[in-house]
Amino acid sequence: MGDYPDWSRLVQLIGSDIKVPIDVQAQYVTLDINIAASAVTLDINLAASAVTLDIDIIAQSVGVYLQADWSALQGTDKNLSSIGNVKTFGQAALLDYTVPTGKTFYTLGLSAAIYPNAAADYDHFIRVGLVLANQTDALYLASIGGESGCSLILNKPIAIAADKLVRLAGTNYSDIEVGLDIVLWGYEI
Amino acid sequence: MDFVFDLTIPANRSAADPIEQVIDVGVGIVHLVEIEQPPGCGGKVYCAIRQGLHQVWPTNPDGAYRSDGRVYSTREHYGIAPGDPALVLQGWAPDAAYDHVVQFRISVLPEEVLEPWEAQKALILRLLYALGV
Repeated sequence: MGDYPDWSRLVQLIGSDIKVPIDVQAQYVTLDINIAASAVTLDINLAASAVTLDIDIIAQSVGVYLQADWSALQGTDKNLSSIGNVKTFGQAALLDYTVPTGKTFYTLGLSAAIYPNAAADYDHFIRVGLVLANQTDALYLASIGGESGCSLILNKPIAIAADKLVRLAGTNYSDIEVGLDIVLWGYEI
Repeated sequence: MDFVFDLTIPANRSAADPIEQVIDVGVGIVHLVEIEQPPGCGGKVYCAIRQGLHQVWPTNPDGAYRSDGRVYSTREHYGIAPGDPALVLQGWAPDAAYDHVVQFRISVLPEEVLEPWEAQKALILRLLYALGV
């Protein structure tokens, strides 16, 4: 022990607007923080060269979401579709979307369903090709094809910058008249 | 030996009058049977294989293969001896609006390849008999 006494003091801060600058310079620090306020902004800047952050969340009211899930909860998700297109061989159903200024559109997936437009064509093959493009910059971003439909769930989002025209094109590759539905989804922040 | 046969099954072909194709796969053991119904068949195309009057695949005589964009594949061990009736592919599609081409694939190997012990069995039995076993 040093030549000073051990001591502790209970401090309760009950102000509506209180700032407490804390400068802890000890080598080892244990901070037991319990924040019970209904709204808290924590601005943490860890500039140490090596930091171990051990987080143990056991409270039921705490959730950690991936951005895609969080966007659905926050209402920043985007679900775009073009349904009921009637197309003959080689014709494409188009879904255009311009990303708003100041936003970025993150694509998570795309899908298409294709079906005969007449009951008599039930036993005909039906093939569709689906292409996602950044039309503004003439960039192909993703493509897939399939029989009766297809879908592509991306393992990482494709980011499309503000003001770019996004185009999803589903093309009928069967030689009968079909119905064609195409869907594009993601989030925008 | 792998044999491949395409059977075109006309639209509206009734079960009472199936399209048939007699095939020759030689002599030996059928060890693999595959039937591929391409996309579009929509479950409206029925297939079976018989030998003489006896339906071999599927086993139940009132059954038939039908699917859409699938391959039915089964390991087999079915012997065809010299003089046996030929295999006959069958197909019908009473509710189909289009003709459909179904592919049958049949793999056959000689008996001495699939059952090499059979050639020695008689010799071994004789030897065991001579030894009094």
